[in-house]
Amino acid sequence: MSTQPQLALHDLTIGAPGRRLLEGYGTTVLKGTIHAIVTPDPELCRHLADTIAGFQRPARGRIEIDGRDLALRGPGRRGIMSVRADPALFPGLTGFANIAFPLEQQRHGASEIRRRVEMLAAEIGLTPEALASRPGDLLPETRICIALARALAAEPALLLLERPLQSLPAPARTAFLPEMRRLLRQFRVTTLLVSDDLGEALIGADAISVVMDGREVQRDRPDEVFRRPANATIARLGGASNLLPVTVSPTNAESDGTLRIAGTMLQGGGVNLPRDRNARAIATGPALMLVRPEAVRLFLGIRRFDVLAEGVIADVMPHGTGAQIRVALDHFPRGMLADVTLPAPMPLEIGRRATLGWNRADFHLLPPDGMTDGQRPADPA
Amino acid sequence: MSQRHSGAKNDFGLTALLLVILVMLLPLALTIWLSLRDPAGTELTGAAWPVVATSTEALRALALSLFMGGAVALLGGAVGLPLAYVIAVRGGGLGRWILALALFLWLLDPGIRVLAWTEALKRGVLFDLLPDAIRGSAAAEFLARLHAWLPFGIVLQAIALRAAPARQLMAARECGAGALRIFRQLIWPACRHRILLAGAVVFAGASGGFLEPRLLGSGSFEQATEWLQRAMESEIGWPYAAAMLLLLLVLALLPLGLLLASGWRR
Repeated sequence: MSTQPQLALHDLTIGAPGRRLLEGYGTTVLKGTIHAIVTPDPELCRHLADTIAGFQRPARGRIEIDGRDLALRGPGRRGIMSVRADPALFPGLTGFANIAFPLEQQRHGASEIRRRVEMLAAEIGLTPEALASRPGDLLPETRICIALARALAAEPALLLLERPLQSLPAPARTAFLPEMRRLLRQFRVTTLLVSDDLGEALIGADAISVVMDGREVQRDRPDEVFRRPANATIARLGGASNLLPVTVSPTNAESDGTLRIAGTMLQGGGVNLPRDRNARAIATGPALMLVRPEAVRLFLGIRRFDVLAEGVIADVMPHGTGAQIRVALDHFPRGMLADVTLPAPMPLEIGRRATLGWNRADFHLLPPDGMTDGQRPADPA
Repeated sequence: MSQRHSGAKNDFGLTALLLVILVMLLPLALTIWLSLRDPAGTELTGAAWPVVATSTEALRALALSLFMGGAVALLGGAVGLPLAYVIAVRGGGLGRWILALALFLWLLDPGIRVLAWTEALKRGVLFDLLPDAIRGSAAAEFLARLHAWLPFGIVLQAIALRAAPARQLMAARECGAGALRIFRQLIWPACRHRILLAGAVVFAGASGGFLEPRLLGSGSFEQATEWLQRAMESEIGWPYAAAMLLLLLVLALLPLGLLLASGWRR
């Protein structure tokens, strides 16, 4: 991996005074890497992409590509190509002509254009039929592929993806993610992804910045952001999540470096946690316990779990080879989601009592809603 | 209670609408009545219509008026479209300034416009360098008419271009496409009907201009409006003038009507 920055954003500020969408944001994207900026605000996604691509001016700050300030360069002269939420293919042109469009602007010869378009189409997996069709006759996934091919054809210094899979329905988006990931890994072009969906950032980003209320609140590897988000909002951006209200307190054996995680819905009064397991879990007081549904299992008395919670099956939602169940816990009626592989080890009947179990390694403690780690209540001790 | 209140408001709105329609349509109805009146008497014979429709002088004047309207619409479109593109598509500070200028020129008092062009072209006070032939000629009328209708045309074209697909235009600009290619491949296919409609509105308005030909025109380029002037100055000419006015109205609105009809069919 290169250590040379390809894109640098310095003190980038977007929006009018009093209504800042982004305030003093800075980052660098190394050559050949994928950096994702995730924010729950779709408006910020659009404005940020428009600003980097040169369609609007930032209120403050500098954008550099290969060390060159882009302030005086308009779109088309920045070496940036983008794939947006709306793939914006040219409706009157075929798939082939859409991909060839930037090459024609670069004044390549007809044979060179044909060679490059066919090579790209083969690498991306576009059929001759797709190349001969107009965008209106194509599937949404194919339209995205053509938009990606059009962007890559120009050999940009930076590929800008703004919510690129938004035009797909949710199930198709999930199914198309691995394909998008393969294409980005294959071309190794420096990429900046801007999205309101943490799932989209998992297309293979090397790093993720999470921006909320105009400021960066977390920057980490994708798996870390997914497993250990800085707050509940980020956890929700990552898809279905169980957020259980718990209390963190020092144990009697605090000298051993352990904390007690307690909640009325947890069996056995909760669980002890080594202080050094996660720096974010040190603060005591009210907190949220994040457990992803895929980490929660049905407890049948055979396998041992660190945390148990009992309740009644309230809903069963089959999907693929399994089902997601919602168990309304005693003292927590909103309940917990758990992914179960079918055939299930017990009948999944609504109203039947069930015990859920998960392990210490599978949960993460978060500050209460509306707070980030830096704003946690002070330790009363 | 609230329904009664709403009903009362609607009644008021309906009355206002009827009044507006009446005020706008009354002159048209009177003109139709006048065109059907016998020039020598008071009965409705429609005798003025065949006279106007077969008069070489009247038809020539009508054709010249329509030619003038067409020329203004065409040249106005050619000059106005790039400016409308900046206003509607590129936007930004320059777009806002051009829009403000167009609106200012549009709202400029016609008296000022006519006075200035009369002074500049007929008397040659401001533009002595212009060839003599332009003064008091068809070119002078054309310039004055263009001045009157260009700002309106720019605003109409800018409204028409708002229908251009913004994200596709951005994608094309990102690909490095120039304005001409963007217009040919994206704007024209998407906004063709609206651009033509804007042109047709300018054509309709510019074909029926009254004041400028009277002040700037020469006898050798007599348009419908000057023919009308002569007809209305004669003792029995009013039915002829009315028939001519209606003919002019129908012909000037013909392209607009055809475009609207084709738009509705789609």
